[in-house]
Amino acid sequence: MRAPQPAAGSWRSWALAVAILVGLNALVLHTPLIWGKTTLWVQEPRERLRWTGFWQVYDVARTLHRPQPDAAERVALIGNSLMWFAAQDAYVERALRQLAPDADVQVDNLSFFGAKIGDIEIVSRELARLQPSVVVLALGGSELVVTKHLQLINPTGRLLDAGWRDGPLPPRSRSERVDRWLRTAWPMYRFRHFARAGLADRLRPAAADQSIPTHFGSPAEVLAFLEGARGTSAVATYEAWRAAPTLEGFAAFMRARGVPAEPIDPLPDPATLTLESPGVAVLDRLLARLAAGPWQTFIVLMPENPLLDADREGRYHRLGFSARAAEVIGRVAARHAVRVVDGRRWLPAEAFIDFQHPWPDVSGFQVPLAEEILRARQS
Amino acid sequence: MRANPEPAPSLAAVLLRALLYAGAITVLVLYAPDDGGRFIYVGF
Repeated sequence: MRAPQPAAGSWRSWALAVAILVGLNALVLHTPLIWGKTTLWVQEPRERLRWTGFWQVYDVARTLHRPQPDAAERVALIGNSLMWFAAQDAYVERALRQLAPDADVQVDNLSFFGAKIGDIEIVSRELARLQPSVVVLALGGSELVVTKHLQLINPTGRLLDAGWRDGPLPPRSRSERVDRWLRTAWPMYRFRHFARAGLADRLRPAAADQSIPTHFGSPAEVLAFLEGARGTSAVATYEAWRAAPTLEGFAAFMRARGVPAEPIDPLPDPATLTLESPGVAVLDRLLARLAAGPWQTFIVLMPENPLLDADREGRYHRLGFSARAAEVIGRVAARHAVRVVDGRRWLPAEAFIDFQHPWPDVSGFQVPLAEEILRARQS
Repeated sequence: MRANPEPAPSLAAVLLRALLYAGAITVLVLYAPDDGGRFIYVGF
């Protein structure tokens, strides 16, 4: 029988292994080999279903944990898809430059698709890293409630979950808590999904993936970007709706894009949203943190498509939910003296790509948002 | 009678072992199965 290698059990081997692991940790955190993907928009429809949210969270982790370009001031935006596309960094920075040419402000949009209030609270734990002067919390109301497809914390948000103490929603099990501790203590473990996917993408890049354009000139350009060939045919339906702007005509435009006009993930009865709801308790903790931070905070109630006024039977939205959510958000915000900007009527129907989301860039959503950011900055 | 003391491992052997341990841990951490595929696309 062969004698064991003397190095196998040597403390020197283990000490050196730990030193190498510390080096690998630094590598995982800092190498562009892992964090260099900029083509975050997944074009292949099936892959998009699985990966878009992931790459958005990857981008959030990169913004929060990797060195950022110097800027005199930073503004952080937190929210979900309502904010993600309509307030891309480039659009808001351009609007800020137009309104205040002397301001050197960098915008960090930390939103991602499907984020609910628990996910947003997780992102808020790391905001201090960016040292923002203004934090904008974008809410449409749906973030506060559990729906068929989404919980208050989702797999995407959980990728960022860290901290020694429990958040406002306790972990579902002891192992989940231990997992969070491990993630907090060990960066390589914490960022393992991003490291794995980032490396794989470098080795075999998804050629079809694209960077988000820093400028869109028209809805047709947006549709061509989002849908390719199908976008071209959807333009005709969009133009038909512009000529006769009815609720059903807009629903037909959405269907031409391959998007259901009826809600994919319907909201619950507005009466179930109360000050005692679990999601509202999370909002309360989130606002307590934001109000205590060394920055100005305000909430934007995100624009709503005014066409929904004609949806009196609630086919395309949950009747009464928006008003209920706005009331609850206003009451919780008042506890923490956080300003609520009601942007629900900021935009006309032609500024929307569907019943919830403004067109990126061409909607002009970034202009009133920038005005509010400048107002917060001066207060 | 005293047993012969074990010979001290060579530097190269220690380095090789350390790389093996660190590499194995890294691969395990990065590629252990998990629920990373359960993302739901809700958006545009």
